[in-house]
Amino acid sequence: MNRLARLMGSLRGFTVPAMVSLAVIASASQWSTVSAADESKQPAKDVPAANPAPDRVVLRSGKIVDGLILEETDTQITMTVVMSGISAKATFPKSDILEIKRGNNAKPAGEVVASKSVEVKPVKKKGDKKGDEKKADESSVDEDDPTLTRLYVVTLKGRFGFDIAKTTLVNVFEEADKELGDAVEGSGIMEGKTVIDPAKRDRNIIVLKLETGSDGRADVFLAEDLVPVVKEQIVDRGRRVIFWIDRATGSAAVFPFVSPDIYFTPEGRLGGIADLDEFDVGDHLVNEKQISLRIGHAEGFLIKGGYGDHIPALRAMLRKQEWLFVRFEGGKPIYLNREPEEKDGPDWTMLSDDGDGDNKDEAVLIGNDMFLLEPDWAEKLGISDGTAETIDDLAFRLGVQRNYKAMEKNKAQKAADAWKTGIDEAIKNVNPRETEERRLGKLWREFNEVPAGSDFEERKKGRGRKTTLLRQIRAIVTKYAEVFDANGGWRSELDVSLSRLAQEAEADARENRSQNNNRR
Amino acid sequence: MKRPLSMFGSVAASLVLTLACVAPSFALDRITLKSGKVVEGEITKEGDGFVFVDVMIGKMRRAEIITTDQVTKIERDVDAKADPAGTTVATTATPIKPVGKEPTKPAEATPADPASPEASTEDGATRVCFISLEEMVGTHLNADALKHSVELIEDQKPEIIVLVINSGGGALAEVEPLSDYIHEEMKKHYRVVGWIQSAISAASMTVFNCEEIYMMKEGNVGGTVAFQSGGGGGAKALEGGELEVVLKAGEMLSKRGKRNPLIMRAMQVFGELSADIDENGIVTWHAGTDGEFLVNPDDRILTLNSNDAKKFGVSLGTADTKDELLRLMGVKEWKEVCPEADEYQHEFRENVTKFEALANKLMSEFDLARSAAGQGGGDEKLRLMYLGRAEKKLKELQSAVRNAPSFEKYSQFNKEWFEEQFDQLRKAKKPQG
Repeated sequence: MNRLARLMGSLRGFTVPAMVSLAVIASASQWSTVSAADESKQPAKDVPAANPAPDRVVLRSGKIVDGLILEETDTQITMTVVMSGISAKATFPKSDILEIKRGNNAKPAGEVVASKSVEVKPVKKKGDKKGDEKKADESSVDEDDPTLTRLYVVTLKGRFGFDIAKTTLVNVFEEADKELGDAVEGSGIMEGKTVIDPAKRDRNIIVLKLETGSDGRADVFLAEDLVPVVKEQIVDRGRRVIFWIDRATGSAAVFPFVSPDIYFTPEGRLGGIADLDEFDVGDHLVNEKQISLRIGHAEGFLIKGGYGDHIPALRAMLRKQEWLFVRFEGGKPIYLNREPEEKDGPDWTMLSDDGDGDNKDEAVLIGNDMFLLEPDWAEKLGISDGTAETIDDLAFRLGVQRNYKAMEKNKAQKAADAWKTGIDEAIKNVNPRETEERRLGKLWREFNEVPAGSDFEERKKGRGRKTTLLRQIRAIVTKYAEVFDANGGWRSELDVSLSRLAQEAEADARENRSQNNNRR
Repeated sequence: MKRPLSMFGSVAASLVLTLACVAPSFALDRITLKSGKVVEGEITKEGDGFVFVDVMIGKMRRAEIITTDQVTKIERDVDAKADPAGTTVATTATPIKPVGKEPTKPAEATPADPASPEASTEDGATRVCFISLEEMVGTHLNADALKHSVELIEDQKPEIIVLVINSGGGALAEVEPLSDYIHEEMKKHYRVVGWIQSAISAASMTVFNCEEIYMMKEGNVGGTVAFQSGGGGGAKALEGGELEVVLKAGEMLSKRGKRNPLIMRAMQVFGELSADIDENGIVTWHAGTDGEFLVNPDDRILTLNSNDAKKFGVSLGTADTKDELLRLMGVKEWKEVCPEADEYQHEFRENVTKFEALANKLMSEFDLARSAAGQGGGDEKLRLMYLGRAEKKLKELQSAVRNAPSFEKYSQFNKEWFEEQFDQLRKAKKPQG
């Protein structure tokens, strides 16, 4: 093998070609051969607003399943849950179960409401929005009420990986900690750090509303820096973090899977991660290597978040050539990434085709060549816990509508907005290349306009101005290095330019002294 | 086209359980292993080279497989050891050692036998050392650095070394020394376990050395296509003789880790791969589509996620925390020891990263001074001044390289390069014209 000493085996640093945004891909479900759209809208009319305490199973994945335990053996538990309005049996191996909490639920199967095998949800009736909620008017809220739930909403808007970066999230959670005042000292492996007061974990909920896509940088690696920040909050600190998806496209599509709680807006879209088929950094084999490892990383995000069963759906989001068929068994989605055969049985619904031959859609942006998850299917598949148009709706879905406070104008939102504004300003100042979409940065334009100078003093002044501008640019790049210059290459180039200016100054000064000496 | 079961050895036979007590309804057979361990349970099936035994974990009955090369004695229908309290006792699970890796003197405690009381700490806990191997194979992750880590802790006699892998690959040339060191040196003295966060390309080949692989939930392993960068058309996968060498290497490393070489091959080149899984969890691999599960279509390169790695027996389980990992490994009580081994790896990687930045800076300054010397405008003093500055920067660069020796091996900054640069400077210093 040593004869291969020159061969390198990694392309992680390669730039992924820009992808076409898939934000407006038409509904995948419109292509379904079987419509189940109405099923998700079915209200469970017989469920009272105040449910009896259900049996609760806490899974090792972090998910909470509420329902009615029907049968328990040494190895598994079978319970009735309601998913998308449909009562279904679900069986959980005890090896996957962390804790079983018995409720006072003596109701027969089908009357316990849960969703996605996860949460007890109140059923919202038409015209019920403002019913007996105790929300909204923050001044009327009794902050000391131990039953009060705070929904701390932060809208993350803009380009994933730029406007929403690791620092954005770190700032958001720091501000939330301060404002909610629920962080306490940790113990054990969290000794020396803070965790969320266990008594307040169910009452202080951070809602991250996503309106983001990755703007031509559709590489799953973009999510790698951000996912751990949220994971730490949920897993290590016990912070309840909910994703509320209006748009999570490109690399942002894998981001919400870090949380067991995902909700959609009625217009919500998740997917369009990247058309990996367009990946081109070398020959076919090398491209497939790069695609394969990226899919492996993306799948890891889902498994980590407890969505491992939905990997076939992810694959159909990632590659045009992947089919996606689904049918339900015992309320659980069963997927195929190929066309069903006779042996697979009936009742398959196509969610996306292979985009090949007759299946190829005329326009990239319209069709079902790639799978884009919309609210109805997100809920049916058990990925979404429900659809909510407003925070009131979300409160209903969360079962906290009776006594909650929506905190939208919060410091975390300000911090997130400040980062985005800072990035926008930074780009205006330091963008190094003029494009159709974006002007050359203001500081670079000034740099280019500095006169060369006809004598030593003018040249010296010009170099001084250029040096100042380069330093300003470097300071901005440094401030936002995580998105502009993660590997330090840009700053190295700036340093070289600064050194060159210093060297020019040195040579010019020497030349000037020499000329002055000659004149004397 | 089933493969003989015995060929699966330790890969399929993930765990051997020792029971302190079993449920009374259980027919009790007792299997004594060469290591001295005793497994008690109900033998349900025996074949050429294996024994299936149902054991109780708490109230759960679980089928396990033991390869007969591990076994010294089988006793049938013996009495269960009664637990005074009448309750079941938690079991201790210990992975079967690879064939041929049994201690030559089974009765004697060896550091590699964590179940041996003599090998554990005074408080009975198994001594476990975690060493993180991250970033680029070659520069940041290499045999020399790993060897240094292990040498630091030899006196402390850890029983298990867990290599925590998070690497997107790197220099193929480093795979051989790294793998050889793990296989020929580390495995002799320690139970070596690969715990994968990400093991892509050269890192996947390296970790395939380990008989015991576990993955984190987010883990991935594969994408092992070897290629050459640069030139027109971007990166190009190896072909011909070079490819054959790499495929052979993959095969050899798979065999070291007791894995079917077809798996690694599907990570390296195009080719269909399928598998059957029988009722006992035994995986049979097929080059082609004969198996029930299509693991890799013919136009794809295989990267396994943690679920599939476990399903198809490439990993023995999935764990996100050290506790979970050790539980899966069957180590009931353990103690983390020898932090200096991992500290060295961190320090080593930080040095390499610092060096990268420093090398870029010094190289730029060297280039600047050299080009300024070339533009001296006839001023000999100025030219010599810049050449002197270039020489100074080159010396600083050379000195920096000494602190990051992996760069000498895997970058342009090798001995020959420095000699050439100094030689050019010497020539340039001679009077012009």
